[in-house]
Amino acid sequence: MNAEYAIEVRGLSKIFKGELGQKDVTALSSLDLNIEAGQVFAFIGPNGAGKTTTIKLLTRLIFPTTGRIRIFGRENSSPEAMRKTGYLPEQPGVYGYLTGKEFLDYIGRLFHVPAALRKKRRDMLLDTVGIAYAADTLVRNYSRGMVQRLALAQALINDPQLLILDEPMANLDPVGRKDFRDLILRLKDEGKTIFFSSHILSDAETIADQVGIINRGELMSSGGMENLLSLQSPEVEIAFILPEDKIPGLSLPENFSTGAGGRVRVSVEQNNVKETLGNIEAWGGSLVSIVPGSRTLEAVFLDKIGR
Amino acid sequence: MAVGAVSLNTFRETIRNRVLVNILVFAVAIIFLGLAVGDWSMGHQVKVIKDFGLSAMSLFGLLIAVFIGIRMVVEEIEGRTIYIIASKPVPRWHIVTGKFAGLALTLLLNIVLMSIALFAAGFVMESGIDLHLIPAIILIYIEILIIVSFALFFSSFTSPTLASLFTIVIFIVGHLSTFLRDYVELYPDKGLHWLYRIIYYIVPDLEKLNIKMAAVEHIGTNAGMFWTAFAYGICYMLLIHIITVVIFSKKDF
Amino acid sequence: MKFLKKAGVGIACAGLMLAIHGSQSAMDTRHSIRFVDLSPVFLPKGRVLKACTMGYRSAVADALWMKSVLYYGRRVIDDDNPYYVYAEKKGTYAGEMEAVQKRGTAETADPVRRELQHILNKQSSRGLVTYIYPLLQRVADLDPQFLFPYIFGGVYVLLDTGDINEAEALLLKGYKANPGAWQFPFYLGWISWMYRGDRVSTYRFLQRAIAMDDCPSYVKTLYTGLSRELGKKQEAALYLESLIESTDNMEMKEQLAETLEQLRKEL
Repeated sequence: MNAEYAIEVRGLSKIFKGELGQKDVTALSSLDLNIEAGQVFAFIGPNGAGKTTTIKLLTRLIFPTTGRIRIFGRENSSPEAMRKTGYLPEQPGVYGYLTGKEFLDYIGRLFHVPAALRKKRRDMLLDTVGIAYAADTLVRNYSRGMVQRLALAQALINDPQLLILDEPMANLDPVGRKDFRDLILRLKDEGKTIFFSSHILSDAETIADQVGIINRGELMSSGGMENLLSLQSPEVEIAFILPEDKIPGLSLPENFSTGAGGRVRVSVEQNNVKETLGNIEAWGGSLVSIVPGSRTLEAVFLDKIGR
Repeated sequence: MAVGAVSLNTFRETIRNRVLVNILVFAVAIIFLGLAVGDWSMGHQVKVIKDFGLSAMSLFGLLIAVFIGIRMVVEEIEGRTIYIIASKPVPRWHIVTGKFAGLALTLLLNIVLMSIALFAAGFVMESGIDLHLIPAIILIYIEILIIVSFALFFSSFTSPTLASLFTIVIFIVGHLSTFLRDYVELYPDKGLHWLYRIIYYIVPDLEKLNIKMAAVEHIGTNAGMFWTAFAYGICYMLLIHIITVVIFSKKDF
Repeated sequence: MKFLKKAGVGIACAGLMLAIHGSQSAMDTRHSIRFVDLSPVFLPKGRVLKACTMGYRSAVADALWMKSVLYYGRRVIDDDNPYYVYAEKKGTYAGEMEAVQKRGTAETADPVRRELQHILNKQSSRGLVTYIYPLLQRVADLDPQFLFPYIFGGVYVLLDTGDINEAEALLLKGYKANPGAWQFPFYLGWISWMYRGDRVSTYRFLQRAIAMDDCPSYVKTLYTGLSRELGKKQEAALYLESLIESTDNMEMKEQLAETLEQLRKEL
């Protein structure tokens, strides 16, 4: 097992025992995963795929039926591994009877962060996540978004090397999501490893270096984002305008879609772009745009899970 | 140690949830009783105040133990705060023990304040503080702690409703234990003896911790009996707590 | 319009509160005479009762004791007692009065003693306390070391009801539970002497009382006085004097002092 990996998973499976005559549920079967240090890894899959189960196994909230997990070369249950990890759960709960400041302080204590450092980090993090103004307000008066930010702050209180985030952007508004994405990238620049699950594929696409796709407890695919997206040569979309009266006479092929005001769109392969541009000129049309298509993560995803 | 952090946090939770208001209710009730009860008891109001005071201390403590003890664990899980806490480098037994200690601390404060109120009432009425009540109060506290340990135990693996029910059943059967034993001896049916024996060993005999009457009447609060009862209570509480820790440590959240 | 609405709500609430208060007061008087009195009979006895109270025995005992006192107090046949006045108007006590009169007291052959008993027995002023002994028995079951209820039932209530058997049974129960308490043989001696005319038992009881550590000196004085056989009325006075001294309770003291005065008039 390699110490360069932030997370190493071997043969991990989890079977939940059925209650009172119900069948056992296999939430995860034989997962193998390696996540390099310093990377941003997106773990995506449909609902019930096993994302949260995997994350709970990583963070010792549940125990594996079989398999091993190592974090920076240590068993994930070891104190050293846990001290290097920060975790933001899905729909996090925070103690309503504490203020934001008190909550962070409490979590800091659980990490045995010394008092002076704890205070410093606490104040800095409240500022970073943007809720410093509510530091002395009771959490029960926080909005959902504020709770999410506070929960993120607690994930960072121990200055972890590995951040595990379960649906981290779920409760954030668009501004919040942008701030969050920026923060993730900043943390990555600091050398931290980020492992997050999401079903908002566009967010994953924007910030992740590596992607794992899981469905029904099995890992469908895992690898670099670039590789995943460039699996076939993408098409190019060309938009142009033809004089309306000329269109009927041209008998354009079927893949040319016409619209109002003489607008025409067509998707062609890379090698046919030059030819198409020549045709447009010959027909007396004027070019509007050429947009190189790229395969989206969504397309890859749907393909992998068989839809 | 994280136990300290968790227990202080739990203590803070119960204080901020204004549980201690019950002491006010207690104090007001005691004062009212003190004023009203003289005529009704034909001059025995001191005895009545002490009896009612000790019983109320026990009852309020038990209600807090059952309802807050169970709510503590349930809220942690349903409020999803357990995901944050249990993923920290904190052994699970620290979490459970911290919760127990926090509630025990709150209950201790509760009992101390109530005792002060009771002694104050007694001081006004008979110009002295009855120190004989102290052993009874200590054992009341131990009994409450046993109930807390059962509350945490049941809530670690059943729903809050069932946990409350089971804990209350333990309380009732715990007080009936001696009665059951006498009753069963009257019936030489072997089957009942076995059943009784099982119940007797599983359920704590809470009557052994009940010396309220003896304390008020100043009858034989024998030191040996007191310490034996004390040790019995502490051992029981520890045993149930250890079992709870084991369950909690293996639990999937 | 808004003001009318608010006023309407206010009036409705005030009206309801008055109605609640009125009906509650009406029920109180009625209720306490009829229903509360019967309820102790439906309580279990002895060990079952102890088991039911589950650790709060002493508080329940005190509550039952207070109930007994209130029950006794409300049954005073006195025109100042609103409960009695109400009951008389409604004829609630008719059945009990009859039963009590029919029962009467065991009259002794001895004319002096009979006379004494007439002085002592204030059946005419109270005696409608049919359920006092079941109540006191239950108090004793729950808190056997609470001495006063035994004495209350064994001496004070006896003065009114003349129900010797019940009084003696209660005192014997107390004696069994508290073998070291001098009060029980002392009061049992009173019953033997006054109500049963059994001098031998009286001496035996008093001897037992005197033998106990904290027995007060006037008991010894009484014993000596009785042994001299001064005559029944003198002896009755002597015993009554020690009875008065034996209790701190003002009501009992008053009642006994009244009886003693009446007796002294006769001497």
